[in-house]
Amino acid sequence: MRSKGFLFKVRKYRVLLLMLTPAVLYTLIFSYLPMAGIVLAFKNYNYADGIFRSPWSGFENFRFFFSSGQAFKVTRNTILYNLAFMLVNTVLQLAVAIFLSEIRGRRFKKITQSVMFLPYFISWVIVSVIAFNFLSHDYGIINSFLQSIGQNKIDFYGTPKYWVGILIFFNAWKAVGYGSVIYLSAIMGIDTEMYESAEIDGANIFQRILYITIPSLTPTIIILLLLAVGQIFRGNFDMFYQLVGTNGILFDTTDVIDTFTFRALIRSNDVGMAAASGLYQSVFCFITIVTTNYLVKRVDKDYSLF
Amino acid sequence: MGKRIAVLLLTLLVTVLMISACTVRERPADGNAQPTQSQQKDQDSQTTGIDTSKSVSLKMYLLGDGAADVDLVYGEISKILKEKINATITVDFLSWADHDTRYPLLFSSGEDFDLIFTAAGWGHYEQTATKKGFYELTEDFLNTYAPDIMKVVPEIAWDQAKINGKVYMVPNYSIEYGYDVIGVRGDLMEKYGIEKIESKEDLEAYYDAIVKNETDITPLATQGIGLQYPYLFQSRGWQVVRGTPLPLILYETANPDNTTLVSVIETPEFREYAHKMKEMADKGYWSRDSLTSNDTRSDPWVLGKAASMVWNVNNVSYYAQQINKEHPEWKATFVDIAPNVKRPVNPYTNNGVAINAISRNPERAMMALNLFMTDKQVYDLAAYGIEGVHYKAVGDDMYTPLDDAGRFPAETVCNWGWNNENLKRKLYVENPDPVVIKVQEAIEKWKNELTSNHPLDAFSFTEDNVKNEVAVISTLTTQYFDPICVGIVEDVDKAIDELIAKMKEAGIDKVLQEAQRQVDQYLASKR
Repeated sequence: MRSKGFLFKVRKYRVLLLMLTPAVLYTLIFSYLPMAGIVLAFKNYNYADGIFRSPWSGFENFRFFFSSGQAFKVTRNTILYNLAFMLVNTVLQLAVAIFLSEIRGRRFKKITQSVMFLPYFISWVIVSVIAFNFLSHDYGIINSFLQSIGQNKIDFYGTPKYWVGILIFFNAWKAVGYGSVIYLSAIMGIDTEMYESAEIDGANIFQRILYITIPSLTPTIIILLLLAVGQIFRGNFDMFYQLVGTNGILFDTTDVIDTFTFRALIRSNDVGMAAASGLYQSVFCFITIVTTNYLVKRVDKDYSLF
Repeated sequence: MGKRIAVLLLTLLVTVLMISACTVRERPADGNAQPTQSQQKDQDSQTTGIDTSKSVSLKMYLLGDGAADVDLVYGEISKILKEKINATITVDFLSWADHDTRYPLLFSSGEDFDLIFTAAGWGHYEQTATKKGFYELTEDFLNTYAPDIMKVVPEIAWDQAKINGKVYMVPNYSIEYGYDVIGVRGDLMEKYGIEKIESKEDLEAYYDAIVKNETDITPLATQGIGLQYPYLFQSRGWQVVRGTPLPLILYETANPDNTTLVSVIETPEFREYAHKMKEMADKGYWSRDSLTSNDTRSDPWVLGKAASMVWNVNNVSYYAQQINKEHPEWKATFVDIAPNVKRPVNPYTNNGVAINAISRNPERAMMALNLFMTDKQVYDLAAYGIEGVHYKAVGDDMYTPLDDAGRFPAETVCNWGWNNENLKRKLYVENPDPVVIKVQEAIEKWKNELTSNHPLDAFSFTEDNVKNEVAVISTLTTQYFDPICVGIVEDVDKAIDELIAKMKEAGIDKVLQEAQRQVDQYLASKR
């Protein structure tokens, strides 16, 4: 009887289930199945024995990461950059979404939105070339300009301190258009009656934004932040590697866990050590997200993810 | 309840998928030639040879981007193989751009192929062999299936190919030098009255003249790091120990009695070199963006942005000819800043071919390789293309490219794995570029007078025991070593002290000790 109940439900929700299938399969194939590969982090992998029969090596694979004296630095960089990205991107995305929603001209609105969205489609490889043409010491646009007005050139690729700003800027440039769409759709979902009554009560535009739009967006903001927190130990490899590359001078402020691991293992291709570094990130991401979710839950149950 | 059943179904699915994934990867427990040994004994007793009644098709992976007529040429080769050993062969290429990632993937995914190009140091040899990706080539196996190769490849080459005492590749037989020369512009030398460049001082005089007088061209554009080998190592008769992480551990190749390894960063010579590089960078010999630039090594010289290029003699001569074809007025040529220092021949393992550990037909693969390396017909096809289409044979040992040579350029379609000095043809042209003659003369002189003969020239380090240390050192090299080598650090001495401190923390001493231990063991086994 029970199985009939199950099959009945499957029939009843078949369209919804069908729509869900691709996402479930995707997660299954690319997230759950490879999880078995975690064992590699504790193994001395060789081709002949494969993943499951290679000899165990305990925590040996983790040693390169912690014995380098770099573990603290790259972990710190990764977290701080991700926090900065979260903060800057969220503020900018919110601002853009609110501006766009308040703009009346339909055509202007569409064009602005498209132009802001475009960078999202540009790959980091291209962005790195654009950045190089702006920042290069010899031919860069910025330095050519500085020279033409009689100022000293700035050595961007030799000075680590500029890169915090540069990386945050390019990340925001690429992410703002895309992220603002999510907030914009959330704003569209806000009941317009609230705005109308506020207007009648004499609220000006800033008061409407401050007291209606932002509070209504809070759940969306929190969910997106929670999702971002889940990635806080992962550096955006594409971005860091393309923009900074192998320019060691800049590593103090630009080296993240992913780029460090890449450099360490590109020669030896040791999958065990790569798995160890990935596991380190995953475990800490997991701890962070569970903790954050717990804290959010304590403040307001409705805002938490699970 | 429905939920629980769904979970159960999912778990089942996962298990099934995982098990099936594992069985695909099944490999022999050891990439070893055990079964063939007993077989081989039988064959020794029958002198008639090997059973090739079953027709097999072989697959080979090569490096590079291939050429238009690869399939055509290998079709011809297949015809010969079919006749001689009842096998056909197809080839596939791992491009320069992504062979670093695809090569290990071929082995971890259990791809079905038989032969693959490999090279110690730069072509995945040590890494794949220690992870048991290659089929072990025992002496019996080689003698049975590749007797002609055994006559060609010198004894020392097999020593060089040994990883933990076992051979996994057939090394090529060619005499090459990895020694770096400096490609320069003849017109600029004439313009500034520089007659010859035979020392660092001469070279710097040339560079100084360019920095002072030219506006659109700098000495090295973005490639200042290229001076590392000639300045720091080769001009002093030093050589980096093969297989060690990056240019950090060296021995003195010019002095065969000295087998002590040295960590380069702690030598006073390194400090001197670092100061020199800083001085050069400050003078504007190369761009401050050098570490970020995506230029290839040859771009700046070929495009006329740099007055010189540092690379090994073959590559410099190749690009010099290209320049002289496009801009004859530049008079590209090359110079040697240490013309009297001894230099080692590249190890024979610098190119080679290995057999996949899970190959279905390792015996036939070995026999095919035997033909590739020693059969003149097959050798010519793989190296120069089809006679009459891609090249014209001039006598037995020379060739002239024909109009279609671009569809299968001679000696560039990764035939290096089975290079055979005895079968190689020389380029024959009516009016050769003077660079070509200069290269031939130089190499002749190196062979006769300047070849070092150090016992460690054949040694190769394996990093298995210290792989954690090596991983860290690799990343620290990019961070602390390279900036010093392109002279963009502010305070050289401070930067060196920091480099040394970081390297010590990362365990460079342990790596050095391990390398020395392997060296001593290697030398003891030679006695």
